[in-house]
Amino acid sequence: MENLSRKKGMLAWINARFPLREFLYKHLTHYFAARNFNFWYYFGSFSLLVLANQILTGIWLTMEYTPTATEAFSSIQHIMRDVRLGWLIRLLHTTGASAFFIVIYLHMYRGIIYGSYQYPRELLWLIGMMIYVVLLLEAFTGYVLPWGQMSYWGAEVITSFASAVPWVGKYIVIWLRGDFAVSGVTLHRFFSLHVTAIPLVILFLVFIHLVALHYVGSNNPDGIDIKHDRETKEDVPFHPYYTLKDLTGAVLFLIIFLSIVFYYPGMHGLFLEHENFVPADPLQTPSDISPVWYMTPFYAILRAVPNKTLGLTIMAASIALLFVLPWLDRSPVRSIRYKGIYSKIAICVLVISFVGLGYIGIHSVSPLRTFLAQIFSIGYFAFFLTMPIYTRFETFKKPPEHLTS
Amino acid sequence: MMKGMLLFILMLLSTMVFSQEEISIALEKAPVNIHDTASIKRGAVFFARNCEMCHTMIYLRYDSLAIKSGVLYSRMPINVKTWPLNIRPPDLSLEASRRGVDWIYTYLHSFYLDTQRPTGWNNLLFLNTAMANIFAPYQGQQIRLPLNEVGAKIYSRAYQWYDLLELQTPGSLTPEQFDAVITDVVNFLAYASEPYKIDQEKLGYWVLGFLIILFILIYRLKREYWKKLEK
Repeated sequence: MENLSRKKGMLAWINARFPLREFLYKHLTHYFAARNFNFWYYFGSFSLLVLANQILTGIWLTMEYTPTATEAFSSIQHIMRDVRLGWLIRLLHTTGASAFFIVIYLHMYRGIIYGSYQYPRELLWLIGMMIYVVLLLEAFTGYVLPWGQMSYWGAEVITSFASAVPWVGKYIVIWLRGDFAVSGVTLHRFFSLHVTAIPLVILFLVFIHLVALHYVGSNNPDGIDIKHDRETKEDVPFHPYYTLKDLTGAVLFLIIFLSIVFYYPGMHGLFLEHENFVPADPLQTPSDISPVWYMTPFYAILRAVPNKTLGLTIMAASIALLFVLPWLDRSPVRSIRYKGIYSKIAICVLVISFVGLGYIGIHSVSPLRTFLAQIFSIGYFAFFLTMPIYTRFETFKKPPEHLTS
Repeated sequence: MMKGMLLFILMLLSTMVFSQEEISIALEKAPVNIHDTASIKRGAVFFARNCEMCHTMIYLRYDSLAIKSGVLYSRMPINVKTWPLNIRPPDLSLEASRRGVDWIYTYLHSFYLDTQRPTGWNNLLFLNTAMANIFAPYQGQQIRLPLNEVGAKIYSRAYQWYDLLELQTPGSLTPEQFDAVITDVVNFLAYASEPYKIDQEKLGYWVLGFLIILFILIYRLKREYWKKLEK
């Protein structure tokens, strides 16, 4: 420190006035993480990468996009056709939206299988869940902006959910839309929320997610406690080891991501829905309204319940249960590697149910699909609601003292 | 027991056979090629001469290929207020993205004579379509075969449009020539939906090529660092 302060130069000048050196020391070169991070540990850094992509491409899109009912649709085509590389900016943004949810779902799955939500990381998990919910809002408001048929009718359906609130429901719907039906007013306010308010909230939440993470330290695939304040045989400093490893992963991720952007951005109607190539028409309801794939598991739960209010309550509960996960898990071990057979079965049930619900939510209603959606909904809820029982009474393996490689 | 089941299956089949109206046909694969600029231009010329009477192509307003081929914004029916049947023909700039090229290719082949319809035409793929068959002079007039005649022929695959339609009076083009014309039109519509597609493909090679080289370098650097740990 003394040597440094005597040195002349830009860095020394900054370090005398700003804790840059301490920051890098504490959060990169002397932040220790377990050595045995596997495939699942890439998705946290990938989501930061996608977030950066969304913000940068979003800024450029905002330069050319017009948030009015008459201009919105054609301004997107203006971006795609007349703006130099505009198609690239837009396809990075649309593909990025889906990629964001892919990496977030895998990141959450990592947390679930390795018990990353358990003590002392409950708050870390809660902040993460808040990011997820706010991200859903961001995705929803963004999806309305192209002002195609699905944008319009998706907004109509989703804002109408608020009418299920007793007594004041219908007033809330009008308040949300700013009009008696979804209109240019709704579009304009969703634009404002999408480009300013919600991104600010996301950035703040991501920041405190990282603060909380660095305070309690990263979990590991064995789910055992290691020292985070000094180097041992079990851990490595984040920089250069994990910066390089994450960077390697990031380039690989970009290769896959950009292959989609350049060669298959519509993803067969999953990333860019076919009906959304038709401008919004308030007088013509599409035959089949479905949200984008990342919301369909919850949409399928909603449709599986015959009663609308009850369906909405159960749908809300399906997200709320994720928040209380840290308090449902009574297992003395964190990682799935050492949990008992019932936990392993439960996670299989969760994955099958969630993917199944997502698949059903994309497709139109049929009696068989509704029946399957009900089965999968039960599977999804069973994972959470019976968790206090199976995690407590199953026989678990004793985790090792030291990390496995 | 067996008799009952047989009866049940026959009843099921009969409902399938006699529901003339609701039939889903398989889409024929459109042989489009976005690199075939000559074909796209031919399609654009055809569009300008035959389709632009009713259909707009508004997002090609500033597209040089379209303008050179005569698809001009000034000639598009943008301000036409009254339409037959009160249905405004849709803008086709994004039709290929919306429906897919195979859909359009099949649709344009599937018109048949139907005296019940105000236009005199119906379509297998888009039943009761409001569009008149402007392709009749080229393709000829097709009639729809009753399903129970066809049903005996085809059982192992979905119906194609040509299974259910028969050319009654030939048009000015042979079926092969007509296929080629429709391919040009579909190619042009695909171009209209995504005029940036060729740039997209080209840039993609460079970007992915760069990333693959970058990956090799970064992976080796990462391995160099992590190797030290193993000792």
